[in-house]
Amino acid sequence: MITKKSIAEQVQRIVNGGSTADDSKIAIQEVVALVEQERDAMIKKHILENSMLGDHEVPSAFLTKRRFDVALSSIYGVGGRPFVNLMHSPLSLPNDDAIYRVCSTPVRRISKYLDEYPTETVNSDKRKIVVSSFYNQENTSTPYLSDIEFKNKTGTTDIGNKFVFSFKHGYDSNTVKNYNFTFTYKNPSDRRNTSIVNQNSLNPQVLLMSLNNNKDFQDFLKVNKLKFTWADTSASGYWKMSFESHYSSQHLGIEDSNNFDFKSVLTNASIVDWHADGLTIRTTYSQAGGQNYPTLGFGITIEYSKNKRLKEMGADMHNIKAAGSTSLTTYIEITEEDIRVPSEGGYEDLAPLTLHTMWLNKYAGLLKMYGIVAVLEDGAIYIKEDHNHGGFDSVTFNGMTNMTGTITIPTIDTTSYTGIPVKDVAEKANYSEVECYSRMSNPGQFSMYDNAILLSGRKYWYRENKKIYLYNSDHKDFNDEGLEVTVWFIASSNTLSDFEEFPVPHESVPEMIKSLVATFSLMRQAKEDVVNDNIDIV
Amino acid sequence: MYIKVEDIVNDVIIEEGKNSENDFLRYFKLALNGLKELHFDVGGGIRTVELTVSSDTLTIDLPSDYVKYTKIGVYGNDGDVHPLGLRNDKSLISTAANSTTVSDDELHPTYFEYVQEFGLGGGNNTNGYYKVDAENNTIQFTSDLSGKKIILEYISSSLIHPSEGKVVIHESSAEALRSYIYWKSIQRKRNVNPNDKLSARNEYYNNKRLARARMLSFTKQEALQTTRKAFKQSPKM
Repeated sequence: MITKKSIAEQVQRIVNGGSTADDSKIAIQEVVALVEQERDAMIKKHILENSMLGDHEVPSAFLTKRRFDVALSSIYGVGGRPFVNLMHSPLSLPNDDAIYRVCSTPVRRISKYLDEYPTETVNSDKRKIVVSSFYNQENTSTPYLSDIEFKNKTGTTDIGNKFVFSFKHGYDSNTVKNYNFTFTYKNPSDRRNTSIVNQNSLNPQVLLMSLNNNKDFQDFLKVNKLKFTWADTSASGYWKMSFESHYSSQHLGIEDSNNFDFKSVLTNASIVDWHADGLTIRTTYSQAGGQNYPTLGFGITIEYSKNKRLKEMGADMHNIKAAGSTSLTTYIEITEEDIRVPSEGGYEDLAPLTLHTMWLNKYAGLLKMYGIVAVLEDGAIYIKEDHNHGGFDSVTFNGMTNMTGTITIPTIDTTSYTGIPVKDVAEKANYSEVECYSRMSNPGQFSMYDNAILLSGRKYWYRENKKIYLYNSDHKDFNDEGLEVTVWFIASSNTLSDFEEFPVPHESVPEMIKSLVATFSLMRQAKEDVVNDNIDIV
Repeated sequence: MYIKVEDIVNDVIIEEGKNSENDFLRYFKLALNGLKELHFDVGGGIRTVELTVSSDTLTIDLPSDYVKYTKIGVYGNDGDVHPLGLRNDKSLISTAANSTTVSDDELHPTYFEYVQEFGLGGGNNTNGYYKVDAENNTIQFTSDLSGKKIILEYISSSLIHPSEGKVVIHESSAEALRSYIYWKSIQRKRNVNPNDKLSARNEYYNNKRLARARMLSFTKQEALQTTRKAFKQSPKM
């Protein structure tokens, strides 16, 4: 942490040749005073020079943040005008640029009325969500599993490197459709010219890998919940490609049929020889254990119209909220593979705590944008209002068979009251907002911007010396407590104490020291007149 | 379809590379002026009201946000608005009329006044006439419109959109408003290069032209509909 004392000591040490003794020629107080002036001048120069170049950013490194209680000035009428007294005087910059942001502080204090609830986050609604079941729901289904074998031809015909894989697929014989996937044959090995093949040099393994790399084919597998694998069968030279699904019945043809083909785009002829046995259906799908069809997962929907910001916010790419909506939708999906037994690559036991953690992993951060805090406490998910807006309209759990959940409104228990739902204490916060104020010029009694202020719907601040006045705001919050305001500003250096954080970029410190050392060196070069003889030294 | 003017102002602040909102109110005030300009020149801000002509005074009071009418008519049984005729000769001072019979020229005949007769000439209106009395914030009507409902379509000076409930602008005009705010924010500053001011002004006018083109654009179907209106059967001479 940089303090102005630490900078001053460095300067003093350099100027005094390493000594910081009390009787040194230059006192630390003198250096501190110059450090203050040096920082203020540097900031001003930096901001104004950048402004001339078209860069109007106020560097965050210079900012100080403080919370202040709002007081009331009575000279502006019976109601008075709220203001905060900045103990730290901000720098003087055009457009009050030294005051960067003024926002009301989210109320967290216990009101007089609510002093019975000392342990709660006052006036902030809360819900406890527990996934109440779904233990040991492994997917022990018998999968659909079929395979078909092929081998490459032995001719020397050039077949190019673009191929089409065609087949029929459906969930039963009535829903069968034709599919064609065009893909590029590409050997991942680095050997030369391995992607140029003829009928004989076609590598079945590379052919199937290339097909599997095709995005459209991958999409087909994902959509239909199929797993595609391949293997060398035996010395007969055949390669087997298999389709497997732990999700639902599949249909790639009847037993011994062959609806598959690999064709060359160049020759429009088949490039492989299929095994005469055709399609072998090893097992047919049979559901057992945990349900996974048509879906497996749970959602939590939060209606939060009391947070007015939600309506103003646009849609998000996570599909939590639509533009203009105040409904937040979350969903966790577990795949049919996830719930298989561990020996088959699944998670097996999906205990409620695991599901809670999954949901929080996905949504805890995203919901912060919408003013909702999601945490794991005592093995349950708790969602809370980040700011006091009057509570959630509703929170619902969207479960399914074997995955149910409960949502409860936590209660507050005190010596005086027992079992008061937390929503009951959130009611006073309805229509309250945590607001950031915008700047206006000092209006005196009334502002020439009054009509624009009314149309903008915002609240405003203006500066008067070391005070910040809130022009169209109250001085109390919904609990009848005094309002608190947080101000981000560039404080004058002389208002910062010797030991508190001195807001200055680290890389600017050497520059400041260099400048100060130069100043003091000049002072030291001046000859001292230590003899009191009324004669000037030359 | 609409963007909040507040968002447009924030856009300008961001475009200028500022990270503080200290200029917001000044820019917002400029934006309100720009919004009015664009309502006049490009479109938007058109309101329609139904008003009843007073039987006593033959007038209607203009809405408080009235700037200029775009259409005045009566609502017909066919569901259409039938425009009224402008009659600037109508006296705005209702003193006692002369006792002598006054006969106007052929444009305002006392006989068959509201019907088309052979040789009478055009420019008449069978529905009635109006005259705007700007001094008294009223529109005067001829006596045959007494007690009738008038449809008044006008440019409104109100900046709050009636259904959105906020100060908004059509998306087609958004860029024009951004350009306006920037131009006006530097227009009176002596330390800004005159070329920059000129460039900002040109950018605004170009964007306003673009906005106007977007707002007034029509579809192929609408074009066909307009041209086909002229197609009619007629005897071959």
